[in-house]
Amino acid sequence: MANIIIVEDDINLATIYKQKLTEGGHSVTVVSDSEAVKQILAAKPNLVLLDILMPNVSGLDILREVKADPMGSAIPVILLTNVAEDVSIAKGLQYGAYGYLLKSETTPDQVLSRVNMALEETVPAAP
Amino acid sequence: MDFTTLSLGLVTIIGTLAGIAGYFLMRRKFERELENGRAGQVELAQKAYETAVLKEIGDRIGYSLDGAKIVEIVSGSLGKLLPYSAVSYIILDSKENKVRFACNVSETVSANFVREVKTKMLAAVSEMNQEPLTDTGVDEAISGAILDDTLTDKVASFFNLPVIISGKLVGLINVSSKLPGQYGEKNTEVLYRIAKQASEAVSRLQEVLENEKGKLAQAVDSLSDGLLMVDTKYQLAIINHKLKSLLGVGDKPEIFDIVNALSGQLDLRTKMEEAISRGEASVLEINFKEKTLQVFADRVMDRENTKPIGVVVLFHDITDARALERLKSDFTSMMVHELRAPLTSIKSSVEILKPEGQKSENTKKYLGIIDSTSQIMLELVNDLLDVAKLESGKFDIVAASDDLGAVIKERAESFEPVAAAKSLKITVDIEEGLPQGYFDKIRTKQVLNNLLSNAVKYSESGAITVSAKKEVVNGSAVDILVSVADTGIGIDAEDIPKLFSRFGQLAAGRKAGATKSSGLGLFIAKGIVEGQGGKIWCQSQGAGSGSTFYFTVPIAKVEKRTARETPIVFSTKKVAQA
Amino acid sequence: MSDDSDYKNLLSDLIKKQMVMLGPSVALAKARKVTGLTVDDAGQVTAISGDPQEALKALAGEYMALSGQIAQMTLDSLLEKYPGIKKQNS
Repeated sequence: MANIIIVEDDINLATIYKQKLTEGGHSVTVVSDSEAVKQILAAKPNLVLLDILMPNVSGLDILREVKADPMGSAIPVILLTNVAEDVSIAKGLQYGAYGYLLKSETTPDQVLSRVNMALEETVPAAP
Repeated sequence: MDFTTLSLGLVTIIGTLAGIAGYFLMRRKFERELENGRAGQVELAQKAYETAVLKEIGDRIGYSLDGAKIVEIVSGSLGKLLPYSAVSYIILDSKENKVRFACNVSETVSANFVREVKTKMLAAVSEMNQEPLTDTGVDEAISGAILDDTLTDKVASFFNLPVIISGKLVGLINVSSKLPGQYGEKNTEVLYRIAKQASEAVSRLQEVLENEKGKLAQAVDSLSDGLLMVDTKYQLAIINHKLKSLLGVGDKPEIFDIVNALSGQLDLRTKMEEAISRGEASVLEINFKEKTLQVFADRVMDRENTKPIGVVVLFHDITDARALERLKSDFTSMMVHELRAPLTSIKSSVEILKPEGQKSENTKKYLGIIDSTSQIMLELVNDLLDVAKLESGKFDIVAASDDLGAVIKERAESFEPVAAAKSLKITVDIEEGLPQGYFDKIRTKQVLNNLLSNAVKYSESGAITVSAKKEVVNGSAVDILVSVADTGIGIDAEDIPKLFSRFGQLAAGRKAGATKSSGLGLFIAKGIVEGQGGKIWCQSQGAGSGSTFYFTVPIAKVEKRTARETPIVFSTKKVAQA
Repeated sequence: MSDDSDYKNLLSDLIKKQMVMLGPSVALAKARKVTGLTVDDAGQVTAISGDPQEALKALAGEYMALSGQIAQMTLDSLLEKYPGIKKQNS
């Protein structure tokens, strides 16, 4: 039902999340960190799953850029991380992330339900 | 005259002569004996005097090692030993660069007399030091009988007594008289001897002192920490090489050089003042020139521990230690991150494969195994992260007022399935009206998880009882006591201390436990319980008779609940490496 | 012999210095204890009988008993003025 973009450098995990979300009825695209901002602003998805720790570009920087742009400011972004105490989470929430989840503690099922909850709660900006 | 009369006359004359000669001889003998006797008496008196003075000097030396004191004592105690008009001394104070002249007049003389004494003494000192010493800047003190300028007596006889300590002339004593010929070898001998002995004793003591000081200086200098010591006047007493190079203050710094070098990072003056007045050692961490230093300040007491004689400040370089800690912490974080990612992928993949929908039982079984083992490994990684946090003091406890009973009930319920699988019964006994506890809900759940899973793991049959009640001491409730009792394999008394260490898993446990665990669970549980302000311990009658684990949780204070909106965050102190 | 007069002068200088340092009566008394030395009241050595070297050693010894190293230093600096006289091994 929704268009979702996943920004995650771990191919395995990206594959798993894409599989699960596709089974949940969504249309999923996985993009690289260097292309992320461009692609998000171009595609204007209904939701973004954004990994924080990535090799080329920091997830937080991507988040800020997207949120700064009028095209992207309304898109809900869920941050993905592996370390709960990371100060980046707090910063991310400050920058306007919708929420976060701990990859190691969240089963694919739970990821899907979180995504669906977020989609229900946020009404996409009228174009 | 006839012959008889002549001979009689001769005999008489000779006899008389003999008598007179004899008389004189006898008198000579008497006088000599008297002289000897008198000399003997004088000698005795001299010896007595010598002993007394030496004893007084010895006593006084105990208090202060001072050449000047010898000069004063000897001149002050001349007493009746010698006849004199005035006894004076000159003390050369090298520390304060002063020359002091003091004259005690025992019988009235003129001011000129005193001046003459002073001149003679200055000449003697000049000769001894082979360097002229003038009258300018010499402190003068005259005491005793009054001076009478109408008198014209000159210094008719005198002698000088030098006091030499460790090869240096420290002072000169002068005994002068307006009568000539008062001082010969005999009556001055004892004084020279005393002065020499005292000087030698002091010199020897000074040598020992220098030696000990030298040894101490060496020991202090070879310390790997920077050290300085000041006296009660904040004068620098000791500073070692390490500190000089740490601070970059050169070879002979003054105390203000050091205070300046540290200004901005550390108020050294205040720290030292606090140490002297408060008497408790203080520790402080400062950053100095890209180094991290731990600074300890403590006061030094005198030997009888009655009053402070100074402050010692130690500078311990922990830059490397801190860097290592950061490295370890960064490494741990990195490892945790790196381990979690693939494990998560493994576990998640299993879920995607939908084992419930698999037709093959084998596939179902092995998918199940992959799922559970990857779960165990994820938990192991979590444990490792917790241990790293405990060890580095970064383990945070976020406590709040909450219903402990409810938490216990919920956890016990979640263990029902696994317990039932082993035919174990879980009973929960929460005391009626249990007060609110003050604890970190998530972490306490972690503790309960660990204790319950251990109870299930190490019991083959029987029951597990979880209870919570308040502990009352002297009529008031002090905390909540939680216990988890099982009827399992039990623990030997000698193994109990090891349980809560990082290497807690016991051999027996390893055998009994079908599933492996990290053995870190109890170590972490201890960190959590103690971080909340409680205690954790274990009781067991020994192998085969079950065990009971206890831990305490503080009671929420009613005032706390209304006063605070945000919960207090505790950080555990560095947990000792067990 | 010049040697002899050197010794007389050296000893006289020594005694005179000691008279300033220790006092005339004590210095002279000590000097007169040395066998073979004849000293006048001004501290001048008028005659040496016997080995002058021995006399010097004895005199130095007497003074060192009273003023220790200072006597030694006085003697050493005097010896520099009289190179003809061998330095004592103290």
